[in-house]
Amino acid sequence: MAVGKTERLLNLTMALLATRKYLTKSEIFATVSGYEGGLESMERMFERDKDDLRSIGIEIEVGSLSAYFEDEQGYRIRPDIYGLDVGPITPRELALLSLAATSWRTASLSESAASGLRKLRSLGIPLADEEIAIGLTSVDSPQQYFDVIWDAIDTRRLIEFSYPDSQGLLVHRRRVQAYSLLLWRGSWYLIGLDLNRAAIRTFKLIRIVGEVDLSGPVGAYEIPEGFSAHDYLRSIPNEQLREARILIRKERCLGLRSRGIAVSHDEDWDLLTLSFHHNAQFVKEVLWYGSDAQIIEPADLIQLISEQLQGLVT
Amino acid sequence: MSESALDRTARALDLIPFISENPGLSIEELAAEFHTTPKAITKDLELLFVCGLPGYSPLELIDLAFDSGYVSVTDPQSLDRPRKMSHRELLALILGLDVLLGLHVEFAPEITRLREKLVSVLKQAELPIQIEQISDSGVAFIDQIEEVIASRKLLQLDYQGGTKDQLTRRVIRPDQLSHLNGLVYLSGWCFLSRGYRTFRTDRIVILSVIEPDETKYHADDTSQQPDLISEVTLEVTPSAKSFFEENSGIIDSVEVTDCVARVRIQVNDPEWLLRTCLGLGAKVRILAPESLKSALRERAQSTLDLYRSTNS
Repeated sequence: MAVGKTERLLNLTMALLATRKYLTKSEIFATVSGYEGGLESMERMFERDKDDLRSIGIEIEVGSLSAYFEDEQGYRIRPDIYGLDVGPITPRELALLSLAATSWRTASLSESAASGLRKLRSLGIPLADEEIAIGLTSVDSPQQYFDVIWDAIDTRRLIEFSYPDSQGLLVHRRRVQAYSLLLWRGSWYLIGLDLNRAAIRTFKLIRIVGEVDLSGPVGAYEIPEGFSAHDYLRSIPNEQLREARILIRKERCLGLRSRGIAVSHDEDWDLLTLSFHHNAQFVKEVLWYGSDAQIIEPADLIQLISEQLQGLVT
Repeated sequence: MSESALDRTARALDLIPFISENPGLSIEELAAEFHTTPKAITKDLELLFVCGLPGYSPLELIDLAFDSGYVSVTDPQSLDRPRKMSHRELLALILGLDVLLGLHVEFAPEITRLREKLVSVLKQAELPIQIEQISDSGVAFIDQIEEVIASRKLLQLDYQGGTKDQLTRRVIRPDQLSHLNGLVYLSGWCFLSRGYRTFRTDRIVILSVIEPDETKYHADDTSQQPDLISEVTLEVTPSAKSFFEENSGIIDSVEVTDCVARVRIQVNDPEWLLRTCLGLGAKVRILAPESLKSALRERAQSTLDLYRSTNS
């Protein structure tokens, strides 16, 4: 059963690719192997086949056969639209793309990259003379939700999932129009329109609770034209870069030391100048070194650090 | 689950141009290339053998040979070109290039040009999936580490270890590099700790390559020292939610009452726990064991004293 259909789809694709003029339905039914039965069932078959081929990315062009009889419609597949056209690719570029295709360990990305690469390798590009001296490095998973969200973005389907509020106390059900996935400072984020709040929100994939469900029909929304995840995140006010001065014990605080410039302060201590982004994050980093590090400036961080330590001794 | 007619159609359409340009591959090799079984490939070929252009005389059929176990195409008919790439395929390759770009600055101009070429085919100004540059720290050693992994040699690192706050010199048999949370990690067998360990490449200070010497560096799983693991109970307030994300691997159980989580974790390095908790302040409290609880209090006090003495 399935073989019959595959065979018919292959023959149809080949026939429509080979023809220069549009083929009418009756020509297709008469000549393409696999169309059998009454006219009505062949018509139905053909409609389904067209949709099926479109779903794997093959566009069938519909055109008028004659300038005089507009209702006489014909079909063909234009080889220039069917075929891969990425312009000239050099052997070296192909080698780079082979490496790029191995960069992701996530199944959906690595499989798509591999099949894309295979098509490029069907172009007859000769192999590069020299190997490129890059070993294999791979980027770890954008987690379990990645695939379903990618699907949702591609098909413009609504997604639903549970996600904690900003205090992390209560988990709410969210209905979201997914716009974009972004790897930002090491974590994957979903950016999209949160329908309950009627505003664009950012969701950290790792904080999603349970499953991400696709819901409703495809094509349910539009992504605003020119929407850029990068620009959106940049537009959220960020703590700016500030400078700190810290006393660190000699031969200690190696991690901190390598981030700034240290000069000798006295017998036991060096004075380190370095910059930081995020107050709480920086305090955490300094406290890692316990009594081997002491913030001198800025004053508000001293306040913060003292309060935090006070909380631990009482 | 049996495969759909559409999946088979797509694969069959891709097989012919691929074989045309890569003749002489075995059915097994094709199966590996197309992520399927040799049986499926054989069935595809048998099917393609009877497909062709209207007329379906020998002259109009696809002409291919695979009797010998090696496959070649003499006449692909109208299937002489690969199908265009799907959005997903293009995007996956572009993102792959982005990863390379972040790690190998020396190839940046080439990669950028190539990337632009693919983006122009995609015809989409904003990609639905984007990555920020993976990491700019620790990248210096990556090429060297990759070479050593490929050549199966050993690495000697001076490493700014996590909890010890001192440089340790270690000999590693590197196994793989991976990215996680924007950092590049090296994992492999560490002859110093006699176990499989993971290192942050941005904390490597000096790195050198050494020849493998079986007498000196003999990796043996049975010599692995058991880690001393102790169970610790913590109280984690909601404001420390990142604690769960960062430490999911060691968390045994979580019990939430009135928004405060009681968390049991497995700790093999008490020093790590003390340093981490000091940084988190009152958001995370050690409930048990008592020894760690008081060690943390003392450490907080001695650090606080630094600030007290300067202020007075």
